[in-house]
Amino acid sequence: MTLSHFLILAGLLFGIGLTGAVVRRNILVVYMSLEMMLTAAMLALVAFSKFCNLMDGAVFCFFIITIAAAEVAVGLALIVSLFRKRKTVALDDLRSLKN
Amino acid sequence: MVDTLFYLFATLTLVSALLVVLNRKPVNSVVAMIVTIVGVAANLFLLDAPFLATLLIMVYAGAVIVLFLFVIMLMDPDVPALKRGWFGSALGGVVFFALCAAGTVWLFGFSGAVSAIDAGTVSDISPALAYSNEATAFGWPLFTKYVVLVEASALLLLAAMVAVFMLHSRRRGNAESCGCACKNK
Repeated sequence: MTLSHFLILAGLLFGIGLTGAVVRRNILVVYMSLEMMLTAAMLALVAFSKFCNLMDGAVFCFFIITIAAAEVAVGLALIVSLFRKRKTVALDDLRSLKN
Repeated sequence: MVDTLFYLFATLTLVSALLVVLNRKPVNSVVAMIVTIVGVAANLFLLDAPFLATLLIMVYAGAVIVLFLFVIMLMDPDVPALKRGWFGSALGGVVFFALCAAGTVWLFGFSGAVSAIDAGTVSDISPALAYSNEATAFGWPLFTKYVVLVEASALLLLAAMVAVFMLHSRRRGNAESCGCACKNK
């Protein structure tokens, strides 16, 4: 169990999250994929922190959690008000900026 | 033993992460996301960070994911799972992971040794910043080295709260919030 193990796991998780954020149509699942990418970054930070014997990476995870909480609160509020206005959560239907 | 646990939890994490992306219904995605977070938290336990793992489970699985569940309950998102042309995007994800893995191997090799930083020296200079699994080791840097960041994130949380209140104050009109002021003139 070395640093590379954890980094490759974090990279795989980030890649899956990125794929989900690009591929999925449902805006909620896209948001969840974003959360997954943040979690992968947290895992990589803690792994670096552990194997460098430094506390900074683990402390930064606090800030990542804070930012993720704020982002989810604002984002879900935006999604709910978007759903009230447009009656849809499919990303393909939201193309009013395209024309 | 630890290696076995790592592979077990890594498999759990990756399989449930794939389920998040591939599931057709958002509710199933949310449940798979909870399993993903529990898997990541187990990996954090393996990394000697039990405090952070507990925090991850409490904040993510306890608050954030439940918020997702509430929003899914509020709306009825019946959307097909994958976009047209999903194959190219999936290929993009694979290429991105390959880049990550290549960078990892290029920097650290397969041994995982961190060569750039000598693990002993930093903790000799400032012992309070050495890696430890106690809660004190988290609190000390938070209120000495990163105190400005703590204040900034407190401000960020306050701003997020105010923004959510503003977005959902319906009777004032949420989209044209400057409209009231303009009408009063």
